[in-house]
Amino acid sequence: MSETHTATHGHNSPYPAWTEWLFTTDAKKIGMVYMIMAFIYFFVGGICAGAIRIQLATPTMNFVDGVTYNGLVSMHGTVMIFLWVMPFIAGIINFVMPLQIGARDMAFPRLNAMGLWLFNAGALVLMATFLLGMPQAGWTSYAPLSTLDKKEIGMDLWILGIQLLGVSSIMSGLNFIVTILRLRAPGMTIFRMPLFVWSSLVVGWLMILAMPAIAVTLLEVLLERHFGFTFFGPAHGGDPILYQHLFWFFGHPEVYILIMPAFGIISEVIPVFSRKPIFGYKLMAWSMILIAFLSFLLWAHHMFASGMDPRLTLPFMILTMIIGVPTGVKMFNWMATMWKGKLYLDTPMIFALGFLITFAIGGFGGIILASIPIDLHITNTYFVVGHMHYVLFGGSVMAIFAAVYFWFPKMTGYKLNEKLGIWHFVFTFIGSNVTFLPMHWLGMLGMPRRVLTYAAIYASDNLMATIGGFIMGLAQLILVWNWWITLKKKERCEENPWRSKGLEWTHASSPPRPDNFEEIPTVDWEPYDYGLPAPAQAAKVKEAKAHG
Amino acid sequence: MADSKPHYTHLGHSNPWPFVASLGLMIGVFGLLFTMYKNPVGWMFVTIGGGLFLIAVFTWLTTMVREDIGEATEHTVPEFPSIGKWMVGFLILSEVFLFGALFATYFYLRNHDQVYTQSLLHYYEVNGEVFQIWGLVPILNTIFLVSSSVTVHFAEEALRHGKAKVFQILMAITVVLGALFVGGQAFEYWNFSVNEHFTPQTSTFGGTFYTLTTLHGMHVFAGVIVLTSLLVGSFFKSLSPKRHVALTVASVYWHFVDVIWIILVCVIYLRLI
Repeated sequence: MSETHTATHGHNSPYPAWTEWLFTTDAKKIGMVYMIMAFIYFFVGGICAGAIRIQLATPTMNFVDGVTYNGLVSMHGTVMIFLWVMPFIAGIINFVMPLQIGARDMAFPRLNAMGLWLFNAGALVLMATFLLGMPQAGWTSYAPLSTLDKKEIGMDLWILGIQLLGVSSIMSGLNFIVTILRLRAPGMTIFRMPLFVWSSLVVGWLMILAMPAIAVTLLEVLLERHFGFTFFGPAHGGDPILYQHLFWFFGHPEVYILIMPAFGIISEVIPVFSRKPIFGYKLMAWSMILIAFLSFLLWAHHMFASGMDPRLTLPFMILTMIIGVPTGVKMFNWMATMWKGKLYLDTPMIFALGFLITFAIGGFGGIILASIPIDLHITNTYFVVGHMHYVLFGGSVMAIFAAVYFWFPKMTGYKLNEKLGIWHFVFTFIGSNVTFLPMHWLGMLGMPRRVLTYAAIYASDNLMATIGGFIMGLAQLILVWNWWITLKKKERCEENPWRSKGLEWTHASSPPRPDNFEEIPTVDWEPYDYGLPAPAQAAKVKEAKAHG
Repeated sequence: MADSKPHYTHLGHSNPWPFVASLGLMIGVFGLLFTMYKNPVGWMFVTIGGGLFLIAVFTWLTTMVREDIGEATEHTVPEFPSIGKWMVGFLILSEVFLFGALFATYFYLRNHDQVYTQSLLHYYEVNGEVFQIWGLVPILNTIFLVSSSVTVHFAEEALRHGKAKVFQILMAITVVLGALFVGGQAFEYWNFSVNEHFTPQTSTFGGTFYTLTTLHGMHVFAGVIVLTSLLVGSFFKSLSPKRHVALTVASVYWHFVDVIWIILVCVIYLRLI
């Protein structure tokens, strides 16, 4: 690839200055808009969660009525998945990935902008449900719930909003894949890519292959609701189980869309703060590919209790358990990376360590749920809620916070306050465990999901979860405060405050120039070569290659 | 970009059209919602939103072509197209999963719904009457689409060898064949729904049949538009023996649509699988 381009930037734009952020095609600005919007929706979803937890604080609380409660539950899940984690992932990949592979921009900058604004369009359509009536069917919108009440406008808004978000995700996915495969700097071979880039590649694949399924599913729901088609209604020959199959064929890879970038982020953070190369680099890359591949083959483990041919359930159970193997490989490789390393406990690393603990607990919950005899009893209880939040909050969101602290100096040139960062971690970590751990106990005791009032025996654990939820929620204000004082002080930090050896730190300024690099670097080093001075490391690698 | 060397991406250029196109889609989506709830302003929203979207996409694409012609030298031509080809390749993969989900719906319902179980080969029973969906129209449509796949291939060959006239004639034939297919499908829908009383609402088979064929027909329609614009563009020198990638990509897409149709015929019309 000939990279001889000399940059021309936004200042020659023929459009008025206020349109700069609306009309931009710069991946870094697009990424920033994604991330800012994601955080706004994080707080929207958090407010939904707060209302749910207040309602559940005591067995017979009367904070909201049933319809509002269903709406809050649906919107909490939808907002957190589609408007918080997904756009944050798209944003961080847009910002960091081109820098890490030595590209000036994404492969298709305008398609990238289209993806961003389709996301915003879809998000506004979903936000309209707060005014016009919230959907009642949960974030999964299972068929009889979503198709029977044909006068429920919130359901239609939900369907149309998710369709827009799905198209946006497919556009992003195409862009990620082509950028990574075609625009790498000279010398950046596929096995020299940082693991975050690997995770972006895998996410791109998951997006383009999983999103079509939800598009078809929701199209069918819409046709059944308003045009008299039958797909799911048993009265006319349809089958509601079909909805579950189609939905989870999307839904399970979706889970890995949410967690895969977290794997990438943690793999970036741990070597930097351990001053050691990542342990088992190739295995880390292959395990991500294997996880992504398997994620398309185990959707029906969400449906053990729904009724399925018994001959099918066993393979799904075994495959689900198998996916624990590559995930376990990653856990052990992260720990081995830290082993005998020189650990620096800066905020990103603290969050990464927190991730390892909470994600491990979430993963164990997953193995328990994979086992059919147990799953049949606890699949519709709070155990699943607890497991799912450990993986999504303790996994994805913890990693997102690590990424925020880690790459904030890259994005702005200012470093977030470390002390506040630690406090943010402490309250987030304690709060999330106090919230989600009791949910496992509640599930074991048999408390059903999606209920608005409950039996008195569940009272103390629920109160505990509510208190934990508020600790966790209020802890996020520390992060906001941290942003506020950091951006107000405008105290420039070093170009590379973490002494990282990633391309985005060593060859680009903080914040990067609009075309990323003055000159596209030629990569002649291996990823994560910490511990040795660069030439010595290179010599060692050369020697190893000569032998092997 | 006059001040700089050409590049496959137009770095730092602000571009309003992605924003406008998305805005149009959002307005259109709200319009669709209002229409479904029988609100008379719905159509206005759909028209405004759809109009914005079409204007934006049209301007976006023509700008892209103009920049490409204006800036590209023989040296830079392989750059942009090579990533363009990759993108369309992955897009087609994504489309495979789109159609896959619909075929999965069909197979699932066929195994679960009584409507299908009494049918033999290419007959389906609808409301107690045996009704044949295979007939002259799908036969003609298959001929149209398969032969258009052949003509588009030879059009591409002609372009590569610099035979502009042959290229334009073959492209015109392709476009006409594609349009005939769309027309044939519209006729089939009219015939089925008016004469045979076979509508999407008839049964689960009706629903899947119409959804699958309409989705496919929309792909054919999109292909016709793309091929037509390439043909029109060729009169303005947007294509040349060395600048044929837009056509290559369009032709790959066209073959893909053709393959989907053949699968559709085998599975749904003839019930071979």
